[in-house]
Amino acid sequence: MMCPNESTLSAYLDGELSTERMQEITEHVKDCRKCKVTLEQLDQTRISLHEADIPAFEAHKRRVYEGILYAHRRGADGFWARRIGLPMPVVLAASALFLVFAGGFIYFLGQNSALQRQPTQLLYANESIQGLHSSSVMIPEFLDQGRESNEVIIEIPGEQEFMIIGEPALIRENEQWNQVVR
Amino acid sequence: MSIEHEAISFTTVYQTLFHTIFSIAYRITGNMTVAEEISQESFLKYYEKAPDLPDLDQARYWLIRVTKNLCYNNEKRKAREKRAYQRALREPERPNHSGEDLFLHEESKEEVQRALNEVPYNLRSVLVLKEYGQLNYRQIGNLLGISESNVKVRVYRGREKLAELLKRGEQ
Repeated sequence: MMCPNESTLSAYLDGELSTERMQEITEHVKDCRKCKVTLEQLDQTRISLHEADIPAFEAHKRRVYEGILYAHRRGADGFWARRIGLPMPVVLAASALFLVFAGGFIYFLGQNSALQRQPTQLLYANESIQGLHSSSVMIPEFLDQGRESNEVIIEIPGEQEFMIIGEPALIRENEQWNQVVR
Repeated sequence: MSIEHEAISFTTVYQTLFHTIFSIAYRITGNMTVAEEISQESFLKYYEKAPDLPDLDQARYWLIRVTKNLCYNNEKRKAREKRAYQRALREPERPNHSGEDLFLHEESKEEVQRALNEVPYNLRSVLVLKEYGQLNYRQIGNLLGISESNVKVRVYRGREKLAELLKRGEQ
């Protein structure tokens, strides 16, 4: 039988070959000095790994167990108790952003406080439609004074007399219609 | 699940499997403090998720999977920090002489661990899972997403490298 390659010998140590192949190699190693030495060397690393004790093992075991209980209790306090690490630039950028937005918000809140006042009522109940027409100029002026609300309620007079402003033809027709009705 | 089984208590799992998990974490990372952190996180995950596993073998497999992921993350972080460190100091790569390695050498007093620290990660992790995880090649292959024959080769090359390093250490 030809010598098996070294990775096969390593697998032989782990018992990872088929039963027949295991038997073949067992037989082969009895006669082949070269393979026997290789096998012994490979086995030696295994042995040294298993002989190497971890120092103070019991202390680690106890400490980790306490760590688990502690971490679990802290976990029970919830998400907010969790510690996180953030890079300094991220923290600075986040606080700068916060300041900009908070500042802007406060500024605009001050600007818009007029909105919170009571709306003013403009009463035109006793004026004619023409009167309203002329006072439409007044409304922007009224708002520009800035001392009152931006909201305006305009009440249209209860009894109206409409004057039609538009195509002369339509006006004439309207007059004719009125005559017919009368 | 159709087969009835009694849930294994966390204490049983911890008492039986701590040695395995801690050994794997320590042998792969080469650092006691990191190994403590990793085993704590693995068991905490097990404690909180309480996976419904029928026996200790399954629990071991479950825990080893979590542990090897944490070891892998640690390895990536270590490599990243080493690169950043070298970039910052504009130093060419000098293997085995960075601060981290010196620290590891300082910490791991035992010769075997010192040698193991110098075995490349992809061989070391496979070898450690084989020797300390009581797993067969197929299970290791499943854990790492590699083929069984790849596991076989890596176990062999890991042993070969470790033997070489141990021999060098004796001289």
